[in-house]
Amino acid sequence: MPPKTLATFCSTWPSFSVVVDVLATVCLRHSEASSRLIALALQDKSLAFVCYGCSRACVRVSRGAERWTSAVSAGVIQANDDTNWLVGRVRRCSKRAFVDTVGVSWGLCRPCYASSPARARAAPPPPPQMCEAAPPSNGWRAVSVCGVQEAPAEHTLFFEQRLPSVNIAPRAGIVAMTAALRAARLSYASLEGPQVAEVAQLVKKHLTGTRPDEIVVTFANGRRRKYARVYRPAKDKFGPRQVRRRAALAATTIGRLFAIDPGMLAASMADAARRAQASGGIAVAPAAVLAALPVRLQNQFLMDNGVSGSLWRRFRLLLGPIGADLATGQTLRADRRAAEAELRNAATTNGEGAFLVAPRVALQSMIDDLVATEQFVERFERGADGADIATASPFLGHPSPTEMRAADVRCVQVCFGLDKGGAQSTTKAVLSCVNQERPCSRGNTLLYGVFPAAEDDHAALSAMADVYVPDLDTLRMGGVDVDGVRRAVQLILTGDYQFTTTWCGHLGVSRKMPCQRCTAMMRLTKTNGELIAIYGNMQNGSRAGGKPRTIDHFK
Amino acid sequence: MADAYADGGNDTLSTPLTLEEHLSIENRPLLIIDPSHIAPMPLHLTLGISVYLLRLGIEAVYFWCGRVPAATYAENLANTLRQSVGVAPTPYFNGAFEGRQCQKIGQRLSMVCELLAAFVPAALSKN
Repeated sequence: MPPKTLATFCSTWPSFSVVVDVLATVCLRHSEASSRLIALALQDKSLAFVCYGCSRACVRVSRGAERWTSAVSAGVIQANDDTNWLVGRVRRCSKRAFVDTVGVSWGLCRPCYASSPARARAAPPPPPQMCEAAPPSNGWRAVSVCGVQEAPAEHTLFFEQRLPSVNIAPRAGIVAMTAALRAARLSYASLEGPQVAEVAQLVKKHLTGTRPDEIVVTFANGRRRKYARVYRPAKDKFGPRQVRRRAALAATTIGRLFAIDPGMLAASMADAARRAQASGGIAVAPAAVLAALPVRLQNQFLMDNGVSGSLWRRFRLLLGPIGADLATGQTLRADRRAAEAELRNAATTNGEGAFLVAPRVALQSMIDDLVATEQFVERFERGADGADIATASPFLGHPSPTEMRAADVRCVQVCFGLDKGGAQSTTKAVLSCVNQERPCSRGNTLLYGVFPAAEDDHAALSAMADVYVPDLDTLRMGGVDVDGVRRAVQLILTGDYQFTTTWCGHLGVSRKMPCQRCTAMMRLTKTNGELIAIYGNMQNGSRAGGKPRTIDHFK
Repeated sequence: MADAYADGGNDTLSTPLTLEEHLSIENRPLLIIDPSHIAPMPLHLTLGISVYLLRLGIEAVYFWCGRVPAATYAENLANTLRQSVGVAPTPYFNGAFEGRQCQKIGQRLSMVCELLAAFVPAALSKN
């Protein structure tokens, strides 16, 4: 840390007295203090010298100095902090300078001599005027700053400044604090490496914490310079980078939604971005409005528009940072549970269901709409050879719903299915026409009826069948009109496995012959070997060998 | 069966039908329909077939190459699904895939096929 930084630190730290103790432990040493240290610690002052380069006391490399060091190590000479300090600093004196008033020799130590040839060639500085009254010390418990009236050498980091002699006591007021600051500034050059780092850390921490808007620095030549913080807009520099990042994010997200060629996708996105930039941008989703949307309103939006959780997640991802204002799926679910628990939203049932009065009319309207919008898609059955079976014969009606239509009779395929679920457990019956794109989409289906049911067992399904089956039989016997032509209705029973098995008369999903297409048995046991040989075994996979079921099994 | 169970299930009959007679139909069928016109939900078909197809590939490697290559193939398959296809097993349903993930696997099934071809040469399929 350079002295300017220390000066900056001192000028911006009004409560320096708090850390005077910290700095006292840092143990500043300067040349005069080093000279006094030698005078105090050594009877023979010629064993050590003061380096005017680094301002430190050093023990010479000589036999006498070696004997003194050994005596200190052996305990013959009583050691204190000053003595221990000297023992660890044995250096060769490469250039002699003068002997000060205390009787201590000054010179250049070997590292200082070798590090700067200019300093080695220059003449040594004149001896300083030592203050005899000041107590010798190497610490900051009572630091004297007298004796620095002389100008320091050029190569030192000392400031030329005249200061009164004052003893500093920690937390002794503003005067002591100011003197401590000056002493710290003057003694900065004599700090050890770790101590410099510690002070630098303190300064950095303070400046980082306070972030002053203005810093006034007084230089050694008396000039005062003010440093003010200048804010420079970086939008031009970072804006394009953020735009590229968002464009990449949008391209990635769109690429997940649409399985198209990545090159075409990138070109389309780049074109859209260029158009938006040329027109001044498009505010697709104002951030302020999104942030103001209550969670309950977002939930209502999801339910009204049939938005699934995964679609909502992609929507948030597509919006990027703006989408972060929208509620997460977890928040939405929690709000939904809270809404369900509210008294005004409590769902009750009287045990009776609700169903369409005329499902035939609803189905006919759907088919008419598909034909009118040219979305009616012909679906054909496939024969044994896998080829589509052409249908051209008209439908003349069936006397019985269980009568199978001829293969070449024109038909409309209608799915009937049930599914149970919901906060209030209900079974929903759904009708859908297969002769269209995406027949399983919720918007393309008809809600046939809703029945409260905790279990979808045979008894509950029987009650529903009493409502649904007559209408379905009427459809199968009468057919529907497609573009003015009567067609047969081919009913397809769909749903989960438990529903279809129960609907067909199985006691459960794990009966001995669980398949609804054939009679293959579930697995071979110790007792059903003969039955397996007749009816087949499901564990054999494609070689199960079960006999196909027919409609006569149900009659 | 609908006629036989008009008044109740197989348990209510004075002489219950045997398995050969009722073929696991022990209650009155609620809708008389051709068995070939009973179809599971498309979502359930997607969930089931997708996972079993992947597992079938591991079984094929085990059958033709042995246990260690099958383990290696399974590991590579997991990496392919996660890194190339971009799907990850759900933390429920025993780590199965969701419907949308199954559709993505179907769209990018060529990656799985290429991986399988590296372990089981196509020539073996003609044996």
